[in-house]
Amino acid sequence: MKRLTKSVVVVCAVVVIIGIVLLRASGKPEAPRQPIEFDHWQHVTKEEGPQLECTFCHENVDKSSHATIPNIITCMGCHESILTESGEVQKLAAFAERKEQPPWRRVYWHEPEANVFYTHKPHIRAGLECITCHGKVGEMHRVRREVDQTMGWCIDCHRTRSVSIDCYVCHR
Amino acid sequence: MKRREFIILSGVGATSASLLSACGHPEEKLIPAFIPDEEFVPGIDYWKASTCGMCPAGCGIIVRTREHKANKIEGNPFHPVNRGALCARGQAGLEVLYNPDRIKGPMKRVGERGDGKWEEISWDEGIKMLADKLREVDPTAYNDQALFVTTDSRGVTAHVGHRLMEACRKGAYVVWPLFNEVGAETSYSTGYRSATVFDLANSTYLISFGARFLETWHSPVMYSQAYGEFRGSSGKTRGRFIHVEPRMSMTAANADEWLAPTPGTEYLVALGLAQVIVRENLYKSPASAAFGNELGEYAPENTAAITDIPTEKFIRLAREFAKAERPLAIGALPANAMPAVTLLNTLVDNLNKKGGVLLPSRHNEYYGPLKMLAPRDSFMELSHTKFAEARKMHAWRVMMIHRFNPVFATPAIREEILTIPFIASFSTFMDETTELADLVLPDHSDLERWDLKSSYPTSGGMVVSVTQPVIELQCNTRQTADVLLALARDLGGEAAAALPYESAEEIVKKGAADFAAHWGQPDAETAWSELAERGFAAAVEEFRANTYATKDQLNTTLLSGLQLKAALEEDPDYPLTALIYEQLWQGDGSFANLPALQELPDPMTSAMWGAWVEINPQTAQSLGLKDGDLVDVQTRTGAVRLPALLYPGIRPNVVAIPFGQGHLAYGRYANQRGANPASLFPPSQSGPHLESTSRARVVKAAGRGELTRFGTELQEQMEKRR
Amino acid sequence: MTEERKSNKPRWAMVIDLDRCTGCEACVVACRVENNIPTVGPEEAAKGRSINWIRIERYFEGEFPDLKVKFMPVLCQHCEEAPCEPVCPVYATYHTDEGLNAQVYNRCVGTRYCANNCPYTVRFFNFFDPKWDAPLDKALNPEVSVRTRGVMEKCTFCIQRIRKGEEKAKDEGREVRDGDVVPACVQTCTTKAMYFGNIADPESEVSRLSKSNRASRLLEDLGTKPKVIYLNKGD
Repeated sequence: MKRLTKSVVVVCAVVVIIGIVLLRASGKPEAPRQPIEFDHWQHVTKEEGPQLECTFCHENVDKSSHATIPNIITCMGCHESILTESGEVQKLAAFAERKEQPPWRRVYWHEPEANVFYTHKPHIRAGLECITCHGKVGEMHRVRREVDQTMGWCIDCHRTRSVSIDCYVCHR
Repeated sequence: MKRREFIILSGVGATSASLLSACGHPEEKLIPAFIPDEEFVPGIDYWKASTCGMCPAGCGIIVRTREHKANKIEGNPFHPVNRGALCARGQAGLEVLYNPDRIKGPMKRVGERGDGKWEEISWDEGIKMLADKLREVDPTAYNDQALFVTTDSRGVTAHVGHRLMEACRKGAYVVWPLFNEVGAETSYSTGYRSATVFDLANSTYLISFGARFLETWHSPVMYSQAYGEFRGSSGKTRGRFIHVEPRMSMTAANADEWLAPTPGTEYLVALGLAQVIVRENLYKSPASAAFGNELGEYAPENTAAITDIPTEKFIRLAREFAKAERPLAIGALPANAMPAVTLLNTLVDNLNKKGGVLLPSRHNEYYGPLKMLAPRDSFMELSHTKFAEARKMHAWRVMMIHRFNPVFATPAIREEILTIPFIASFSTFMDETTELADLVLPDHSDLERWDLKSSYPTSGGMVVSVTQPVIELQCNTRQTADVLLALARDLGGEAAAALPYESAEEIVKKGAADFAAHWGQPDAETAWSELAERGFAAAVEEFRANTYATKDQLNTTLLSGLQLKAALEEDPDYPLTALIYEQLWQGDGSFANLPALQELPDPMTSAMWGAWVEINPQTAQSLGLKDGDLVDVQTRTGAVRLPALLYPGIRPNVVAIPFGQGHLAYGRYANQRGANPASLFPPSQSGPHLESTSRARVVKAAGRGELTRFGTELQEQMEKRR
Repeated sequence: MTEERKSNKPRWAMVIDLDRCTGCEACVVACRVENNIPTVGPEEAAKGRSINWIRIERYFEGEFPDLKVKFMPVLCQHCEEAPCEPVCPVYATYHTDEGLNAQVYNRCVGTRYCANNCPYTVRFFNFFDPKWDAPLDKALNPEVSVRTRGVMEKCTFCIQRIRKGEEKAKDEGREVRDGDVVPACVQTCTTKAMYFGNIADPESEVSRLSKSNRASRLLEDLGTKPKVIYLNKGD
């Protein structure tokens, strides 16, 4: 009897451990380390900085389904001459020299299995602010995921704004 | 964790694979795709115009690309040939571009021929190797030749190949497409070689003699669109359509009336109709009375027994045809039988009339450098059969082979070809002929190359369509015309002088500019940018009547040589007739490596992924055969083993086999699938082409055939309710 | 699972003219390419697992030589009273506010009740994860899901194209009209036998054609109220 209890405990423990491992494996890092320590605050909020609009770099947000990550050519447009002595900018220049794009890591995404087809364009055209879905990225040094973009969260907003919550709007 | 994964994991079927798929973040690999560059913004569709290369018809296409990948081909809505539509083959074009079995780059043979042992080489090495072989050929010796052969008769490849071979005094050939329905145009009227078009849309009564215009004949999409209008559009009565063919093809299945004469007697049906029209004075052109005497022996009373079409049917159809408002006859018969079809059109006087036969006035089809390079007499045109004969006449030291797979079309030629000392293949895929090559210099796919193609839409005039790269190169391939130009530079002397061009791209752009200038757009740059964006340029001109054969010519040339007899002699040991046909998508067998087409149910039989032999249920019963039985089809030349398919749409005592399967190479989707019926026909007498028929017998073999047919229970549901 | 809201939404419908359909199957391949439908290969196809969201049914009548053939493209009929919907235990299949019969893949648990209950046999089950031999996967449509093992799939009337068409109309500040939305099968149809549009709009071509005296619906007596309308052969 004791042995049975013991083995039940062992089996339960194994299941829990496997569960934790799997859950961790499928969890997304909240603030992934980027190939270059790009600082959004410096570019957007800092008073003596360039105070760029989001769309300066994410230029396709109102045209395409993707906001798009700027091409390194865009970065080098300024950094050819600005802050060239900075270590991070030199890393950037090295990528540009090799004609490579830095391997940026994503902060927000949906798994392909979610079968969800989010598109930026209609959301921007409806007047949504970037921070509504992405948090105050402009005040962050390293971008961190602040908004938990679950389906319930999407639907809440759609309900509030009387937008269709038909499954087929996003899932297809 | 995702819900379904949890279900899988907690179930018995948990595997390491699904565990692995739960780890890692494949999404991050997508990042480079979300970075815009000079050309592309991610998430936005880019459409690029080009021309379909899946058959010679020249339909305009637009290709949808996103994040540097092509993901859909559609018909170009503005192109006058196909007006937005595209056939099943054309829709599958991306499977050529992204085919996993493409040859990845230039290679030379290292093992014995046919061993499949290759060594990757550089393009420079490959070109030098071929140039050296060409230098060894003695241009003064009759029996020492190099040969360039292609089925791409009107493209830049053929022109450059021809000029190169001419410059170094070697032979160049164009071989007709296997199912040479373009070649049949030649005989339409005496010596007139052009693209005759037929105004199906406006015709009110159509008789087709074996012309499968909805599937494979001439320009299937153009004629399908015309057929749609023929069947009814606002303000037009529904046209009536009669189809004459021993086997019910998909085109025949759409006819209001299907006539299935004895194979090879289709022309007698046409002549019988003509005879009735003349004897009943129903003809519209007064000169037609003159045909009365010649036609006497073709009276339906004389031919009914041979054709197996009742006399009354002849008479009724002849009257209907002649009395129709706008009658039209079309045909895909052997060249020597086509005049019978021409005669019907002559009798109803429909040349260059609405709903009739349209002859575009002859343009020079070629412009700019293409005009300079256009084929001359030394550029020989051959049928597949004649290619085998030519091989017997000439000792070829070097054979350069492009888009041509004679070992599949005529398997018996394999031994002949093995005797050629050096073979260079430009094939995109490892086909049966390329397997025997010494050097492989793979060509681009049609979505990566440059070309210019002319075609004649039924709306009049001529259209020049551009083939241009729609996507980055997928493999280390090179356009064959560019290889030939490099070869010319390496050879130097006359060859280099004859081909002073940098690339196929340059030839195409100059040709396009010249065409545009000829038709009123003198600014080359504007002309090119318009053409590149739209994909085509049109030269519109009314059809003119002045090139048609006179009645004298009809008298002497059309009817001589036609004989009143069945096509095949009786053979007591071989009581049946076997015929092969070009199936909807299989073409000459070069699409057998596309999975989307292999899994496309045949429109008449629903069969997928294989070949079969069609037998009338009545014949099958007399032979004791059931659907799916494995049978041997035997002729005096050869035999194939295939599953029997009981098909109500075929004459009793005739068996039909689709051509195109039975590859012994050609990649994972095509290899070892079904059987190749080419061996049923003697190569010397007639290689497989549209008129191939042979006396045959069918013997039951041991075992069941493997034939998959797509089906659902809808038919039962419908019948239950009836 | 939609909430009732006042709707001037389009109701999508298709008209197929059987007098023009030749059975050429261009639509079948176009659909496969547009909607990431995998080929299953000869072995699985032999087990009846081949997937075709649209197919050509073919009916022979009579015997040689007086044989007649009818072709009929069959796809999801997007029934107003769809028999597949009430039997789904997880609401993976339901009716949208645009009258589409929707299939939500990530809800589906693969009971296959819906396929069982569909009189038109247009629903297909994924027995395996789909596979495209690289680089064939490059041709996948990024606007459409790749379905996984264990889910049902079927024609969506090219929902991705409907969304695109609606977006275009919205950008131009107007209602959708004929030509905005063209599913892949209709787009490629070689004889222009297929029409697609908003049947709620009395001016649309599908509305007009649906009133033709040649118009009928498939297995009408079942009361499924299909939104695919067939125009019978003439003559």
